[in-house]
This record gives sequence, C-alpha cells and structure tokens, in this order.
Amino acid sequence: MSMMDESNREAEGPSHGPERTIRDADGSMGLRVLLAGDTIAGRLVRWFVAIALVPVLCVLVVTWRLTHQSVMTMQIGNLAALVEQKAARLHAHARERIQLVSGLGESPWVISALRDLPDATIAPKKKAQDVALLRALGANYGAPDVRLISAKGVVLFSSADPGAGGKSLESAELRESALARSLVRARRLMQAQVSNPQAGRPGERPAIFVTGPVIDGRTLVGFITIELSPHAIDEIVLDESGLGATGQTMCAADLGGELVLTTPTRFDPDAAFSVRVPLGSPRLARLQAAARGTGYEGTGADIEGESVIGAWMHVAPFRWGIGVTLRSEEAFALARHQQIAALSIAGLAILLAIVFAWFVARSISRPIARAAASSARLASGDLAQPITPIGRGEPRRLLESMRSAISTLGSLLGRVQGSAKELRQTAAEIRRTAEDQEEVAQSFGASATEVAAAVTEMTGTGRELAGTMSKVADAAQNAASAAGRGRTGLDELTPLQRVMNDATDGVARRLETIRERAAAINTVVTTINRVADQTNLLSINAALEAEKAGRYGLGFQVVAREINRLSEQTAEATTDIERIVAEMQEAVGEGVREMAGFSRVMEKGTATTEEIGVRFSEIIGLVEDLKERFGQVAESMDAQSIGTKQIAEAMVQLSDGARRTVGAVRSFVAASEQLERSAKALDEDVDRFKLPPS
Amino acid sequence: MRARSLTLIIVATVVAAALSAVWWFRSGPSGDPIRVGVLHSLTGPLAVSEKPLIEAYRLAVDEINDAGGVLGRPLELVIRDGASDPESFAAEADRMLSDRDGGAVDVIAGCWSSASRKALLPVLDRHDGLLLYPVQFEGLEVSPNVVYLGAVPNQQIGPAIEWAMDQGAKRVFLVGSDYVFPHAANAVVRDQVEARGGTIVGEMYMPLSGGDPRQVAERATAAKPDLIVNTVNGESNQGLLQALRTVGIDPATTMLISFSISESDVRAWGPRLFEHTILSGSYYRGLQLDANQRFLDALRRSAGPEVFAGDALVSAYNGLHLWARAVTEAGNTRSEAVRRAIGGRHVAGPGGVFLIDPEICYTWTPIRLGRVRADGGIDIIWDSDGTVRPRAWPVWRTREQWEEMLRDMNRRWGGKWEAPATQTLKPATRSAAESTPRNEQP
Repeated sequence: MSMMDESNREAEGPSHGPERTIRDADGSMGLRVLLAGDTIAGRLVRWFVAIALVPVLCVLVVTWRLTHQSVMTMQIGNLAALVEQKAARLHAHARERIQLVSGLGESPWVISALRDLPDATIAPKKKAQDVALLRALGANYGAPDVRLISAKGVVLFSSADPGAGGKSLESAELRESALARSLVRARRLMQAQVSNPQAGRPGERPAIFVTGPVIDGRTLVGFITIELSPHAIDEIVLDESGLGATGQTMCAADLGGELVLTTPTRFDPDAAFSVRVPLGSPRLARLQAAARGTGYEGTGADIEGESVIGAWMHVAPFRWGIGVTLRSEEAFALARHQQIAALSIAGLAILLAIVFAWFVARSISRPIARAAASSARLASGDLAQPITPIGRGEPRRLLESMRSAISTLGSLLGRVQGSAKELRQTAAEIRRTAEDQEEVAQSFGASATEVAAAVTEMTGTGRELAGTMSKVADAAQNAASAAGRGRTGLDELTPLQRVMNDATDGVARRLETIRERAAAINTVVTTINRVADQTNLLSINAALEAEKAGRYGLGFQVVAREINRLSEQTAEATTDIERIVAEMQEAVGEGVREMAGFSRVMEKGTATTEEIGVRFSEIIGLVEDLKERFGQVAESMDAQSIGTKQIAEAMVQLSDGARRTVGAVRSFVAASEQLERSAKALDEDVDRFKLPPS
Repeated sequence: MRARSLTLIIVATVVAAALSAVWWFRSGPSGDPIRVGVLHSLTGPLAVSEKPLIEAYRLAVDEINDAGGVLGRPLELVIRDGASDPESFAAEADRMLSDRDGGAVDVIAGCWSSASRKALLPVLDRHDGLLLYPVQFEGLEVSPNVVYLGAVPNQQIGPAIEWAMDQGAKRVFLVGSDYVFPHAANAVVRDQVEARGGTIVGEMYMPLSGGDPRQVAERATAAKPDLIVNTVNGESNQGLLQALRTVGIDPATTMLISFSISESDVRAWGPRLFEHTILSGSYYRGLQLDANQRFLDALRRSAGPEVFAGDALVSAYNGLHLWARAVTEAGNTRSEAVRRAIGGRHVAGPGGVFLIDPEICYTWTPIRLGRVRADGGIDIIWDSDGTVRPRAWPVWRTREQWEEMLRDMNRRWGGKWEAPATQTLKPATRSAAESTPRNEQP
C-alpha cells in the first residue's frame, strides 16, 4: 500500500500514537487494541459493552431477586395453605372423634354396658348384647378398636384385642402405656383426649386412641376408648395434591425425648415410628419446633439434608408437628428458567453490542486514523502528500474537507511565501523612511519650543500692563467713591440745612410771637396801671369816706389803706413788668436780628453746598467716564493677553505634538524594525513548507 | 487510565443497582396505620391489675412493626381508660369503634372483669367489632365478636380439683368474691367434687371490697375441710389468708387452691403469707422455656424491670400476635374474616403452645399447678403436658342449664354481674348454685 510505504518514512516520528494508528488504520484491529488501546475503536467497543452491560446487570440483579422473592412467596404461600388445610383436616378429624367419644360418654347403653360387664349378676345374654353393640359401634364408625375401661382403670372390653380384657391399666406393666396415660389425662381434664401412639400388635403401626370419660349424671362410671384408624390420618397426610414432584408431608411427635414420625411419608411408606431424630439435633429442626408448638414458613432441610422450602404447624389435639415441604430446586425451577433466559439474553445483548461496536468502530476509526495521519504530516509541514477520502458520513466528509483544506492551504502558503519576501523588502523601506521622519519631527519640535518661550514673555508683559491698568482703575474708582460719599454727605447735609432753615424760620416766628405777646403784655400792663390808678383813687375816696364815717369806718379805713397799699404795690409791679417787658423786647429784637443774620449765613451755606454738590457730581461723572475708558483699555489688554495666551497654548500644543510625533515616529521605527524582523521570520518560516509543484 | 475509569463506572453502577434492589425490598411498613384499640382500666381499683397489660400490647406492636407491619402497614396503639367501671368501658368502646376521634379502631384488646366484657358485647355487636379478651374467666359465653384468650374453668379449675381429689381431698370448702366468676367456678367445683364422691362443706361469698374474713375463717375452721377453694379477688386475699392462718388453717396441711390471684399478686402481698398455697394457671414467670426467656428479656427492655409478666399479660401478647397473623391471612381487618382466620392459628408463646380453637375462639393452652414457695417462687406440681381443649360450657351441666344459672344471677343482682355492695357476707343459697344434673332431666 502506497500510503504505508510512504508513511514508513516517518518511522522516526516522535509519537507512538500516529505510528500505531497508522499501522492499524488499515490492518485488522487487534483484540489488545480493542480492550486497552487509546483508539476510538477501542473506546467505542468498551463503552458499548459498558452501556449494554450496566443496565443488563441491573435488570438481572433486580429480576433475580424479584423472581426469587415472588417465587418464594408464591410457593411458600401454597405450602402454607396446604399445611393449614391438612392441619385443619387433622384437627377436624380429631374433633370429630372427640365428639364421638364425648357423645358415647353420655350414651345410656354405653353407661349400661359399663355397669353390666363387671357385674357378675348380669346375665351373659345381656352382656353379649352389650358386646355386640360395642362391636357394631366400632364397625359403624370405622374404629379398629373400641375399649371399655372401668373407673378404676380395668379394661372391661376390647373389640380388637380380646386378650386385653381384664387387665388393669394401673398395673405396673401398663401404667406407662400411652393408653394409661391418656386415661389419666382424660380423668384429670374430664374430656376426651387423644393419646400418644401406643405400641400394640407386633408388625403393626402403633395405635392412637381417643379416650373419654363416661359420666352417668354426676358420677364417673368409666372410660371409653376408640382407636383412630390410621387410614383416615394417612389419607390426609399422603394427599399429594399441590405438592409437585418432590413435595411431601411429615407428621411427628415429641415422644420420650425424640422426634418420631407418626405417619408414613410419600417417599417412605415405612417412615411411621421408624424415623426417629433426637430432639435438639439439627435434622428436621423445623419439624421439631412445630411439634413443640412453633410454626414456621420458609426454608429448611428435609430428612436427607436437602434444601427445601415449606410450612410447618402444630396440631394441638394430637400434639404433633406437621410440615409440608418441597425441594428447593423444584420450587425454584420456574425461577431458574427465567434466570437462565435472562442470563442468555444478557449474554446475547453483550455479544451483539461487541459486534456492532466493532463494525461501527471500524467505519469511524479508519477514516479518522487516516485523518490523524495526514494531520500529523501537516503538523510536520509536509503538504505534498494527497489525501484519499475513505468511509462514509462525517469521517469521509472530514477527509474530503481536509483534502481541500490542505490544497487550499498549500496554494495559500505559496502565495504567502511570495508575499513574505515582498513584505520584507517593504518593511525595510518603511523603516528607513521612518528614521528620516524622526529627524524632521525632532527639529520641528525645537522651533516650536522657542516660539512658545517668546510668546510666554509677551504674555507676561501684557499681564503687567493689565495689572497697572487695573490699579489705575481702582484708584479712579476710589476717587469716584469718595466723591460719591461726599455727595452723599452733602445730600445728607441738604436736608439738614433745610431743617435748620425751617428751624430758624420757626425760631423767627417764635420770636415774632414773643414780641407780639410782649406788646400784648404792655397793653395789659397799661390796663393794670389804669386799674391801679383807679384803685388808688378808689382808696383815697374810701379813706375819705371812712373818715367821714368816723368810728364806723375804721375798718373801712383799714381796708382803704390796704387797698391803697395794694394799688401802690400794683403800680410798682407793673412798672417792673414794663421794665422786664421792655428788656425782653430788646432781647427779642436782638434775637430777631441775629436770626436774620444766621439765616443769611445759612442760605449762603446752602448755596455753597449746592455748588459743591454739583462739583462732586461732575467729578463722579468724569471718573465714570474715566472708568469707561479704563475699562476699554483693560478689555483690549485682556484681549491681547488672551490672544497671547492662545498663541502660547498653541505653541505648547505644537510642541507636544512635535514630541508625540517624535515618539510616534520612534515607535513607528521600532514597529517597522519589528515588521522587518517578522517579515524575515515569516519568510523563513514559510520557506520551510514543502509545496506541491504548481 | 481509561480502562480503569470505565471499570469504576461499571462497578459503581452495579453496586448502585444492587443497593437499590436491596433497599427496595427492605423498606419497612408504610401507609395508613392499622389502629389497635386498647381498653383497660388505667384508673380505679382494677388499674393495678390492668395497667401492666399495656406493656404487653406495646411489646407486641413493636415486634410486629419491626417485622414489617401487617399487610405492609404499621400498627398503632390507641389507649383508652375504662376506669374500672363497666359503663365507662362500654362508652369508650363505642367511641373507639365509631368514626369520630380521627378514625375508628380496627380491633379492641382489653377488658378485665367479666362485667366490663359483658357490657361491651352489645357495643361490639352494633359496630361489628372484635374484642381480644386476655383474662381467665368463667366461660359460659360464646360471642362472635370476642376472641377469648384466657383459660376457662374446664382448663383452670377442673384439673386442679381432680388433682386435689387424687391427693385424697373429700371435704371441700368454697370461698369467693361475690360476682359472676366465683359463682360459676364454684358451680363447676361442686359438680366435680360431688361426681367424685366428695362433699362441699361450706360456700361463702365476700363482697368485692370490705368484708370480714374472720367470719369466713371461723366457718371454715368449723367445717374441717381437706381442701379450700379460694376464688376471692384482689387485696381481700391478704386478710383472708391472715384470718385462716390465725384460726389454725395451714396451707401446708390443708390444701388451699386460689384461682383468682396470680404470681405477681402473691409476690406483692407477701409470699410468706401464701406459702404452700396452690395456684392454677397456664403461665408462670419461672417456666423453663426458650420462648419465655426471650419474652422476659424483650419485656424488660421494652417496659423496664417493674412490669411483672403474668397469665393475662402473656395471653394479651400472644393474642395480639395471632390477631396480626390472622389479619395478614384474611387480607383485611373485618372481624368476621379475622375471626375465621384466627381459628386454628397458634403460636409457641412464652407459656407454651397457644392455639385459638376454630369453633368457639377460646384458647388451647397448657395448664400447670404451682405451689408457692416462701421466697415467692413457684414449684410446678402438675403439668398438663400439652394443651388442654377449652370448653365454653363445663361438662356437668347443659348449656341451657348454665345459661339459666347466669340469668338468675344477673336478675338477682339487678342486671349487674356482681353483687350489690350493700349485701353482707352470707353463705350461698343452694337454689342459686345448683340445678338438676343433665341425665336426670325428662
């Protein structure tokens, strides 16, 4: 195979994987690979098997248990029902016999027979009649032996064993017999009792008796015993219905420390009373327990030690244990079939899984292997080998696309190789250009920095100027403020002056008023003078009159004198008043004159104040004007300052830009150097590929 | 490495599958619980006898639930107090069997005195319920609603009297409490003793509480009996024994068989007082049986060392186990189906074989006579060696005669099953206790 020949050249390849895969890709898949190899095929097979195995195992386990459980339950249920049925039948049989004996125990002719037989005075014919009746009883009720026993324990009659008549059950030889014991029990319990089996006639099975008291009124006259027919019991026990091929029934009693089988079994007709197991031995353990009273359902072992399943019960009237058992193999035969079927299906499933896995794996694994091989070649740079797609589905598409990919890749690589070379050259050129640019950028940067410095100076000067202007403006402002304050003060003064004017006017008026009042007082004084004069005259008159009156007019003279004095005083007072008023008028006149002078001064002051006010306003106006002009200057200064600032900023930016340009150019240079290097490397790399001849 | 992880996964899945299968099959009982009603006197004079039985039911229920429950469902005890009064018993039973209180019970285990049991019969009939009655009693009754787990006179009394007469007793003195059981028991004893040619030399009844034992003792001493049959119930026994010993009757020489007291009573009242007296029952604590040992251990673990296992407790325990198996067999808890299924069912209990008779639902059980020792232990002096078949109607009279006797008693006592408390101590009138023997009736 061409592929294999060519790929054997790669024997020095580093990895084991491709080598083995390559070899195995077309060869058969070894079992070793299937089980342990790190291949898709191997994994697929193993996982298929696992996926098939796991649920199959689970199902197997579950069904195994389920089947086992259900079969066990069903079989044990059957066996339990059977043993209950048999026990019930035995119980019923015992009950029926017990009722028979109880009934016979009250029957008049049994009572009379019991009285007759030991009585020597009774005629033999009567006795024969009694005997005949008793025998008929045995025949009618299927009892092999019917015995009558006296109250003291003497056997009076036995239908089957004539030799037993006359023997006392309390005698030493018979005291321990089962019959004697049942007698004792019957007497103690005053009810019919089932005895234990009694060894009897040789060669025959031990007999089981039902013994019951015979009661006449309130007196116990004796006992009647009937032997149980073994046939009736065996019929129940040996009934094989429901017992399949290996099932059997066993009955056993605890007799003298031994477990003794009391009936024959299906497979051992001679088992009755011959099979004995010591109590406590592991043989027939379940039956021993049942004889002692413990029932059980489940697994056990039969007399030969084979595993059985069964159900065991106690039969109280007989004091027996009864067990119905079935060999386990037979019991689980059904289950076994199911299990075997399940196992075979499981095995088949797994086998199928393996086969399918192998086929599927092959269809996937071979193309993948081939793809892996060519990928390996691709990795080592060999694009010259073509790929032939095999298989179906995705692996085939994979191979096909790999093929086209590789051819595309090949042509692409060819182009890339050419481009790489060109790129290298271009990269070198770029680098050189970049270096040139760097220089330019640097010189540009220097100039920009100078300009920036000059502009900064300018800005500084401008700022100083602006500062000075600002101070001037401030000073002017202060002047204006001062003027303003002055004007304000003046303005404040004006109302004050007005007030003063008003006040002086007021004072003048007041003075005027005083003058008028003084004039008025003068008038009044004049009047008073006149009055005083008049009074004086009056007094003189009065005095004269008084004198005339003589003594009667003394008082009146006094009065007249007083009045005269008064008028003199008045005249003095008025003169004073006149003098005072005149002084007052002089003062007032002076006051008025002074007031007038003051008023004129006041007016002059007001006029001056007004003038000052006007001047202040003028100053303020001028300062305002000045401020405007100052403002304009400041504005233009500012503008200039802003302008220079802008220039400075621009210059700074320019400088920055120049720096950055330098940086950029430098990195551009570095990049172009790198590019050159990469291009070189690429060129070298690409050169490595082997391409198909184009 | 791949192979290993694969193997690991397979192994893990297999193990998980196996475990889940095992777990599935091992799940315990679930679902609606089956309610077992327990109706005993938790208060009143009978509480001291009845309360320990609750532990028997608890132990039985625990064991049944541990084994997977009944029909896959757990058992749940519903315990109510009968307060030692038959009417309370009837009322509680009615409540338990109706659908109130969150669900009726499926069975009632309980009662002690015959009065309480008889009071329940109409309630059980009305609700078609089932009663598991664990106590020794007088028989004379077969109700389709009761499973009788205790021994009856033909089992407890018959063999004991026979044994005594075999020991040579001829003169028999009877003393008992004045209620239905002693009267019925003494009737049985009388029939039996007379059938064997003995004589009853005295028959006296003490009221259930109070009463003067000295009178009894004097009468007893005067009668010179060989055997005293004691059916006195409760603490009056202490006074009676004291009085008897005082007048010179020594149980070591004059046989004294007590039918109404138990081993635990003797232990509580002073074994010295009861030394040499004879008890008759199916269970004694000292029985050498594996099942007994296991039972006593389990009871001690469950209820503590103070609970004393006695006849009634063991019967209650056995009865509940048998009931559970009968329910499983029947598939439901309806009393008719369960009663049918429980017939014939038996268990090897702590006292030996314990089997429910299919016809009358009485219990086949072994019987043992035991003599009390000074240390309170019991010496078994006679063992029935196997179960004794129970009879509802003891053998000496017909069923009709027994029923007539019961009716007379009930009428005399004003519809109750115990003598009114006002009746003073008196000897029995022969007309009440006797009737013509069956064979002489026309």
